[in-house]
Parts: sequence; structure tokens; C-alpha cells
Amino acid sequence: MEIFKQFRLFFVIFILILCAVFYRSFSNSIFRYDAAKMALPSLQGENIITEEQIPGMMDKALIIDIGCSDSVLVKSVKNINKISPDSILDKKYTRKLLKHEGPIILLSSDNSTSAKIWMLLSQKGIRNIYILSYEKEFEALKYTLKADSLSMP
Amino acid sequence: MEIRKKISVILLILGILLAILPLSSSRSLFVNPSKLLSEVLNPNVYFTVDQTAKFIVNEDTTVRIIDLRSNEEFRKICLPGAINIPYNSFIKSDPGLYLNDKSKRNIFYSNGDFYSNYALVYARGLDYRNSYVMSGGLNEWFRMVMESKFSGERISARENSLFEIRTRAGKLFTQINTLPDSLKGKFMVSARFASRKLDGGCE
Repeated sequence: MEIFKQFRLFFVIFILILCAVFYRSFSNSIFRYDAAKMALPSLQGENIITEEQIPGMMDKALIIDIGCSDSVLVKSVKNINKISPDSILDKKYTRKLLKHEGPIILLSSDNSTSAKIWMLLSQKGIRNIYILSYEKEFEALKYTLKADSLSMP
Repeated sequence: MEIRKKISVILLILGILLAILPLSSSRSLFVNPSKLLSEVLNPNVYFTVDQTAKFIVNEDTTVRIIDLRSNEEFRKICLPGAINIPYNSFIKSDPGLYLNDKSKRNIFYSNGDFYSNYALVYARGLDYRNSYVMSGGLNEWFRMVMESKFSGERISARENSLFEIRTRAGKLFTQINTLPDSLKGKFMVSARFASRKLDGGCE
């Protein structure tokens, strides 16, 4: 007890810093540490899945429609959660996503919306998130340069 | 208490604190998540292919076009004046190295929409608000600019201006991408020089 009395001020500061560290590390209202680590699955496209991969994940997957998904396969699935991209960070949704133990699949007809939501949720510490892509080569250049392809006025 | 014991207690506590603290070398997004969400969902973060073509044709110095594709892909085909920062390097290194100049608007592009939009959220999350995306990427560039054709009898002034920009941007794109790597940089300098000469009239 005498030690605590002698170092009272020191302990108060220590506890305050400790609280700040815990808040910064585990709070759901801010982003997690190490942004690069959180973004790692996006580097090699490990976070992109195609329609053929969905049946294997269906048992535990949480499917979230954040746009007008065009997938025929997905339309046949009953338990799709529709969440507007504007409200995806609402507490009730983030809690649900954080608690979910299986894969989370994002669906949208707009790839840019899916990509942005994926990055945001990943930076919040939610793992196992995938984007459904309708194309296998999701970042492939579909055109080739032809020197005479340019139409002149 | 002996002074040695006091110092030991302090060092022990500091050691525990250091062990708990996350590594300081790691970055984390620090913009408020809700604010970042509304910011990146705002359509103002996008430039269309036509707007980007106009920047290229006008050699707009307030714009920096960043190609997020691999170095190999960049060497084969790139937008005139673009700089290459592969997405991997962008995420793993400090983006501040490329985005710090607040006087410039950084426009990301890749082949599609994925990498550019990841980079947008990442950069804006680190408070680089001068970050934008060329909507649709290089595929959209080919569709809109390189395959641009006019069919019909009449053309409005607006359509004509748009078509002219697309044609000039397309020409520049074709010229620069048919050159060997070593000449690409020199071509941009000579293109600037030629355009200045034209602007200035008979010198």
C-alpha cells in the first residue's frame, strides 16, 4: 500500500494511458491498428470470390446485399441481409458483423461500392469478408492497344 | 524505499506498458469512420474518363495521375503523364511519400474499379483528402476514349468539344504507348514543347 501512496501520481497517469491504449486497440468506433495488415487480403485478390465458390460457403456465410446485386444464384438464396452502404457502419450492423464467425459476402452490382465497403470494414477489424465478383479476372485489362484503333473526326 | 527498488518498479511498469502498446511503426486510419464512409460514398471523389482526358490534354499541373497496376502492366500501357505506384507498394509503404503535395489532386486508376477504390479509402482514411478515382479505370478509358466514334449527321458544339478532347487524348495515348520505354519520358517533354510552340504562334 505504501508503494501506491508514494507513486500515486505515477499510477494515475499509468492507468489513464492504459485505458487509452485499450480504447484505441479494442474500440469499435475507430479503426484498428496496422492498416496495411488489415488490407493484406486485397493485395492478391484473396478477398474476391466468384459465384462458383459461393455454394461451398453457404452454410456459415452471412450474405449482405449493399447494392442491386444481379447474381441469379444469389437471388435464389433466401437469407440475404440488405444493408444500405450509408448505414453499414451503424452499431447494430457492425456488432452483427463482428459477432459472425463464418465468412461475410458482400454483394453489389457496383464493384467500386463493394471495394470501398470492404476496405472500411476490414480496417474496423472485421475479418473473413469477401466480395462477390461476376468476373473471374476482376482486374484484367479487357482491351488491347491497336495503333489504328483511333477513329478520326 | 531504497532508490534502487523505486527505479526497478518504474522500469517494470514502463516495460509492461511498452509490451501492451501496439507497434508505433504501424499506421492506422485515423479519420472518423462515419465521416470517411460519407466522404468516399460521395460522387465528388470520382473523375470521369472524359474529365481525366481533359486534364491530360491540357497538361493540368494541379493533377497527378497515379497508376496502381504492376510495373509490368504500366510499361506496356499507361495514361500519358501517369506515375506508377503499384498497389502493393502503396499499401506497404508510406502513402505520404506520394500524396503529401496538397496543391495536387491525386487521381488513382487501375484496370478496373477494385484497386483504385481500395486506395481511395486508404488514402482518405489517412487524411489525404486530395485523393480521387478515375471511374471505370483503364477499361473505361478504352471504351470511352479509344473506341469513341461519331455517327450521325449533326454534332452539337458540346459533343464536338468532347469528341475533340477524346481524339487528342487518344492520339497522345497511342503515341506514347507505341514508343519504347526509354523514349516515353522524352516524348512527354517534347509534346509539351510542341504544344507551347503552337500556343505561342510564330516564334
